[in-house]
Amino acid sequence: MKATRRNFLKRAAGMSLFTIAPAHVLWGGAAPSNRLTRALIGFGAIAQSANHLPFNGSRLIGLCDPWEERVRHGLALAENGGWGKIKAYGNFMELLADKDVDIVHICTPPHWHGCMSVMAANAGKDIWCEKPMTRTVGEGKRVMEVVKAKKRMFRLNTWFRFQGRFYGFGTTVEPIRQVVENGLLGKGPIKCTFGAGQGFSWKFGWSGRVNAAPEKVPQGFDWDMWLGPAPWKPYTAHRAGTSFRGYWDYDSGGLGDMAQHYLDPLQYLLCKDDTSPVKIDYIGPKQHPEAVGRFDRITLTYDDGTEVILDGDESLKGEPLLRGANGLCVYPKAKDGKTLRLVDRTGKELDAEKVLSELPKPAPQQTDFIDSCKNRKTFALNESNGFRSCTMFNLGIVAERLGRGFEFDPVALRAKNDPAADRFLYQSMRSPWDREMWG
Amino acid sequence: MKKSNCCRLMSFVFSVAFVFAAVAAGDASKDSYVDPNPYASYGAAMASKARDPMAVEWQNRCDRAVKAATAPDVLASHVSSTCAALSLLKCVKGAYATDPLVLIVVASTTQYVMDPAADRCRCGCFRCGDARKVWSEALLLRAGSTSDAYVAMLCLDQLRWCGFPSQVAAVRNIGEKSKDRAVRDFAAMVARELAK
Repeated sequence: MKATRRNFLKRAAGMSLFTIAPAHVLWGGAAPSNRLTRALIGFGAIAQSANHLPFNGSRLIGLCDPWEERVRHGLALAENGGWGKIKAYGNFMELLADKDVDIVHICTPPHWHGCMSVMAANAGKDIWCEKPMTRTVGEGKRVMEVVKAKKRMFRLNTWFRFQGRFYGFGTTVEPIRQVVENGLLGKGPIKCTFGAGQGFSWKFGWSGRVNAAPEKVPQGFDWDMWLGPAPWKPYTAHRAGTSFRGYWDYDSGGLGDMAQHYLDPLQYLLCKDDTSPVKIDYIGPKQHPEAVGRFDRITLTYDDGTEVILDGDESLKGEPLLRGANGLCVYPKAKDGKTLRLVDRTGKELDAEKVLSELPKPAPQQTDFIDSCKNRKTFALNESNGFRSCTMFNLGIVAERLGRGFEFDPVALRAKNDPAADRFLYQSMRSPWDREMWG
Repeated sequence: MKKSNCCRLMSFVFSVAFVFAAVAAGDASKDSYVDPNPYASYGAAMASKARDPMAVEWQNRCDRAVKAATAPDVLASHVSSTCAALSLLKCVKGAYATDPLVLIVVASTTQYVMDPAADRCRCGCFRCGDARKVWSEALLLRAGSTSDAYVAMLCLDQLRWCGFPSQVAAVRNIGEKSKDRAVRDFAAMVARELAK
């Protein structure tokens, strides 16, 4: 046969089609047939990030989205990314009903997180949910109850309590926890400040338009499904884009977007995974009823006097991240490259590396979610501690909407003598999602 | 045997090559993808429009006006009588054409009447507890008397934060009489909230 390019390609295609390397050669023990499966609910920007579409720990088998165009794009990306032809579900209920799906990744805006987590747990799925865990305290409590009752594995898509540099602070959380856990900050309340000065931006750009005029619903978009449990309001592109963050019905601006990343590690290093603040104070402007604005300062105070101050107007830029009862302060890294700065009450900087080397390290955490699902081990950031860290900023959001502070009972999970606050903490949903959520 | 292993190795190499080629083609198609929503990207979502500002920008520009309009004695004046309350609610226009300051005053009035610490006796306007009754009744009246779906929904939206269980039937009635699906949906949700 003449050695032409066409003949060469034919032979190559033939060989690759009919002499595929065996699974154990390609995959070792992690052959596709041995791996847990996952499906994505929602295919906007976040679904394409590292822990969702390209995540290699489980096998991607399907996705759904109320935008038809995003489904088409997702299928193409999945195939080109090596997942082959995956399923396109008509809606997320079909996805949950599929017995071939082991884990659901909830990549929707926050107003769906609570309801979908409950429905997924009831459907026997393990859950990897985007942050924030839920939009309200009431939804978070319900998710926690159902996930526990159905014995499902649950994780949130934030990770700073066990890995990664802590935003502008510059170090992992582990050395900060060493300082707190070993009593270096003295006996008594700790003061924590979170703002631009400590390396954390509150992203006030996530704001809604004060008069977002109604627009025609685009072809191929199921607006009613996108809204789901949220109150029905006319479509406007700014509500349904990534700017959904700027509307109270779906999220709560920069506070809702970033606070679980910032405050969950704080809750961990303060060893407060099983409690919540008892007093919430608010300084800031009155809010628009639909569009999220800014806050100046929100203070969350625990029963032991520990304060967490969310510094919106950056008036506390010079404050340390942590100030101990004994005056020892923990600052973000200095320009000389030290990962952590410890300064005592006299202003003297300690040798942080030497101090830390003499302290025991925190207990190890369960950080492999696939291992959690296979062996039923509770993940490091789960429905219980995730609920508590979500509650921290959900309380702040309620204070913003009230325009004032209030008190909270961390055991009953209700506001104290404050029906107005309770209405924000426990909000109704649109039918039929209220029945799916509350039973 | 050696020839068979050589064929398997070559087929594996070509399989990998095809996958890389497919990924490259996929990357090219990703570059050309246009998300159906114009605000899908961070930059576009945060871009300001002078005639349609973000709440944060508006708050910063109108800080003094908001503080003045939401002072406790001013809010108290809006709930001193049903007429005063309805007069404020008549400033809510349809189709998102309302002055944002009016919307903030409406929302602040709702929170004012629900504030357990507000000392309305000091204002000398009326007995404690009357403010909430006056305001919630005005919201119900306005929601039931308007033909504009947006106005009805805004009033119902405020009612869910301050309404009474005794108003459940009236809220349901507003929903059942409305020809607008959004109002019907909203009314049903608010009725559930008030009945809790």
